[in-house]
Amino acid sequence: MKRIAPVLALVSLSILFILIVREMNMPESTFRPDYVTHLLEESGALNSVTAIYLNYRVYDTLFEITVFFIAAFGVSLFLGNLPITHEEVEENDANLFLIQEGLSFRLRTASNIIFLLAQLFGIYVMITGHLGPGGGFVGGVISGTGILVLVGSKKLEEVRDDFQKLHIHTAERFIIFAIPFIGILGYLTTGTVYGRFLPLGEAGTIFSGAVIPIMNVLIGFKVLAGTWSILYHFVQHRGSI
Amino acid sequence: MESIVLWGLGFCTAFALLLSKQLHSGILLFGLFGLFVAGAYLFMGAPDVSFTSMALGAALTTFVYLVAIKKAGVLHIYYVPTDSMIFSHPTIGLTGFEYELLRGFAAQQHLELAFHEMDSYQDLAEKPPQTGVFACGMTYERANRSFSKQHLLVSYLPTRIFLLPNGEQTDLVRLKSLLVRNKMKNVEPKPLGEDTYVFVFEPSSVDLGKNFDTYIKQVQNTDEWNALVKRHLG
Repeated sequence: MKRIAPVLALVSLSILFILIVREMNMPESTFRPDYVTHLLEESGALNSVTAIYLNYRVYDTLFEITVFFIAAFGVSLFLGNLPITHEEVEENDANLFLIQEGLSFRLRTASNIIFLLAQLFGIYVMITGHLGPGGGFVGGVISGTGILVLVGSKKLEEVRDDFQKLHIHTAERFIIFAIPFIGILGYLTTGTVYGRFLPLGEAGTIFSGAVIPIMNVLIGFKVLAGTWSILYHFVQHRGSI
Repeated sequence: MESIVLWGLGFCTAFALLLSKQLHSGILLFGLFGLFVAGAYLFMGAPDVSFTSMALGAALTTFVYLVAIKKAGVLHIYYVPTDSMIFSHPTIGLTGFEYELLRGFAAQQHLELAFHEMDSYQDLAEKPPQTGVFACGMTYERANRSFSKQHLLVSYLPTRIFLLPNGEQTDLVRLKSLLVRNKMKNVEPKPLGEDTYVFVFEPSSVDLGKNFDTYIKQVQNTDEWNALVKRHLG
């Protein structure tokens, strides 16, 4: 299971790369300076920024995701070998944020609520990225930071164990595969990479903009997993560099 | 117009950030700066950029730094056990007036303390360690004689100097410890003059020493300070 995902990701990324290079060598390039005027009827997304970065400039986004993936991978690879900072267990176990006595109960309660609100808001921002401001990147960062707030009320290891039960990291591996796969699927059905193989829908509703909401959610979970992975390693190895 | 106001506020926050001396307030000011910049982007018609700036600049960075300063640094303290000032108590461990002062300072600056015991004052004066603070209830006179000009001496408490019958000079704390241990009986020490107790900061820790000076000025003559003096020095 764990080995299938990277292989699939690698294969799909390679196929996508070949397709992109072929498309770029086509004599009739896809460069169209007037795309802003036809934005809504071509992409179906109300938010023109999302429409551009997930439709006309989707390669930029693709490589941004790759850069983010490599950064998170590098952090876990490099910091994973360093010694772990052990918490000296003092009067309470939730002393990550320099808690003074008497503050811990308030922080414990508040961090649970903030965690829930952050997750809700993060997911909302992800799935409505094509309707208003937001998108996968921001939603993922909001959710990832929300998880770090939870460390204020629980031990870091507990949070990590809960997180591993959700199999987010397995999902992350398949997202690496799924994002290029959508591009390939678009090529197979319409002839262009990331072509529109889903109906546009009615502009302004959740199910509109063809693949844009799906891409947003996928990117959101990818960034969520990456942010958490980076934060977890920074917290776990703090002070050891 | 709103964006100009917000950029101005952001500029002010950045300036305050430069001048802030406390790590905590610095981090909060940094978060505030991110918030103002995000607001400015919002009024400039870029809500997407504003969202990203808010999530990354104001929230994520603040949290990462808050976690990071949990372990900001270690302050090495080289001490020669001195009664009342810094000494090992059989039941409660290390304690004393200087110990508590350093504890308070470290808590304010988010530093961890590492204590290293030295055998004698001569060891400290002849081969001074490379980093940290030296503490042993030293008087200004004595420290000034033993350490080079690059060392920073921070005085924190006035004292008196006495001349013992055997020709040695001693200060109030040491005199008291001699009296308590009954090593001197029926002798009247002669008062010689006044002096202050100092902490010696090693040359590379001079900035820290200046912060410590400010800290001492803050806490001096507060109720807590008086209670500390009463408990440890009588």
